[in-house]
Amino acid sequence: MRHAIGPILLLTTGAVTLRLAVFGDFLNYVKPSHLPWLLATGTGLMILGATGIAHAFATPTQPTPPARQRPLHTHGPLRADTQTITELQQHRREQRAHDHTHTPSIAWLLCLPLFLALLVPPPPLGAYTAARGSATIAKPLSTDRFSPLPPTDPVPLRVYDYAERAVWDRQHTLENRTIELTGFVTPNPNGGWYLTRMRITCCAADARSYLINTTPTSREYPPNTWLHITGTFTPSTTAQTATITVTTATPTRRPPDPYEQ
Amino acid sequence: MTDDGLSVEERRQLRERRRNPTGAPAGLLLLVAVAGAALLGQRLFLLFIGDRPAMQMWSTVFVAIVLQALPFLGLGVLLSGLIAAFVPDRVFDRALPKNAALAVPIAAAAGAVLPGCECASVPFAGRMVARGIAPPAALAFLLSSPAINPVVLVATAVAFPQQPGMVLARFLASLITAITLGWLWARFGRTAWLRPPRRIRAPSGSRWATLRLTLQHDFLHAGGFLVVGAAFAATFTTTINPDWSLRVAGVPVLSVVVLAALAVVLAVCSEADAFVAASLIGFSTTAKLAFMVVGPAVDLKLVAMQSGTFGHRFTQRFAPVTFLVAVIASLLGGYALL
Repeated sequence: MRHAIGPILLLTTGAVTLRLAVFGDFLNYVKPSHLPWLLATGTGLMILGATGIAHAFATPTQPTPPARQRPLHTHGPLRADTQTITELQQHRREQRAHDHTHTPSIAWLLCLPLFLALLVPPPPLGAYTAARGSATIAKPLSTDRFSPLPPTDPVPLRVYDYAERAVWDRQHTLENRTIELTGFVTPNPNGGWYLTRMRITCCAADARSYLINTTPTSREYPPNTWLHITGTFTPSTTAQTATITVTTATPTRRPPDPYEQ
Repeated sequence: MTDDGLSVEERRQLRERRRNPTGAPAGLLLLVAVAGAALLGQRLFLLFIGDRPAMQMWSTVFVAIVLQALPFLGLGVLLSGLIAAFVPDRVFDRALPKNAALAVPIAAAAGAVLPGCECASVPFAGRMVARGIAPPAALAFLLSSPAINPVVLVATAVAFPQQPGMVLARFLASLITAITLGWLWARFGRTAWLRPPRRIRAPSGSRWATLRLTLQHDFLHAGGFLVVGAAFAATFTTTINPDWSLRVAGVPVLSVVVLAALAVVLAVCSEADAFVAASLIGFSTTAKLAFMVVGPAVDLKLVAMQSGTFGHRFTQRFAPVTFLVAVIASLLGGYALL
């Protein structure tokens, strides 16, 4: 049984990883293109664990040492006869020297993130994280290469794309266009709210938030409400921030992938 | 130990035998324990996390780091396990020159071929030392591989399209850091500081059984320490607001040190750190370079995994020196190339 602990941990880790991958929950934590990696890892761990469990039960457990089979003569509460003690110690030394199936106790910590993701799945990063930073939009990788917007009306855009164009686009591609955006609400401490979306490269640990100021500010929503909005570009009054004038705002369900890449 | 020479554990066993001579049905006990822990765990988690947004953010980042790293950990463990189980001894003897002065740069350059993040390189380096590769060479590989592999370099090029010098600067600064640390260890390192993993051989002598046992041990061991590192990194990500660092963005050397320290505590994956660095507004390119050179060499996740693999006596010496050398290499690289 002791030999099966390691394989059981591997099997559990693999099973939870597979579950997160197959049911799509992994999108709350890592990028979509991580899926094949997670599937491969989950499957591999389950095979490794299952093989280990099969071996643990197929191989006979080590024979009980003679010292353990003999009835124990004790003298007082914690004293045993010397021969038994010597043999037990000898047995322990031998076991340590040959034991390759010993499971490092640190491995139990693997259960923590797995059960966290399974029992109380943490929500994707939202308004709390976004409100920590400023609404300043970082200069995008290249400012001179904003592709022209598609001719459709309204134009669906990613939140970060709108924010970067609004602040850094010298060709003014957003002007006189109706834009469609999907994001969540982050309250603005000065009144009103930001339309927000997090952008990740690998996982939620490297998330950057993109906040777009909205006008008019009359209508209020609770934080983390997902909205599908249409609106038109409006220049910001503050430097390096983006603003949109909202024409329509419809509450919507959280998209399967809450982040943008 | 007492006068009869018994450890606490053996006393427990003796007492146990008196109380329960037949031995409890361990399997049943384990099942009950797991079910109980799951129910209790859910309550506990809810109690601690509940509706608190900071705790929720912590859990999201914590789960994200672990989920992001697991496949890379698996890849590193699988590759090193295959090599350890199937490559014969004589290949290891001939793989690198005996001379550390030569072996270190070769091993550091070889880091370019293991595509993946730092999570793959730690168990890999540990397994190589267990199979007889000299520690200085293995350590140089450990530092260079997450920083200079093609995936990371391409990501850097994409993140800094207007600074093609960045890729070269990152490559050279990381390579120099790795080689310097390898040489330093060859010159000053002591065997007593290093507690590398032991070589695993299946009792049956079967190579497949050796592979299975190596994979199991390395994954569980490194995985456990990865969780420790992820917990620390998530704590810092939740408590430190990167915008605070903006106040020192303009100060020449201090800004470099601050971004280097940020790379240590945030523990961003080496494939993503270029994008995070590019998004840090107001910092000099040298400071951003330091963020990308320090991160893959020494961060909380790595330090936890390194001390698990090589022992804490190793890490408490290796990590600070690596930080220092990486910062100096970035300063030099930034001065010369950017």
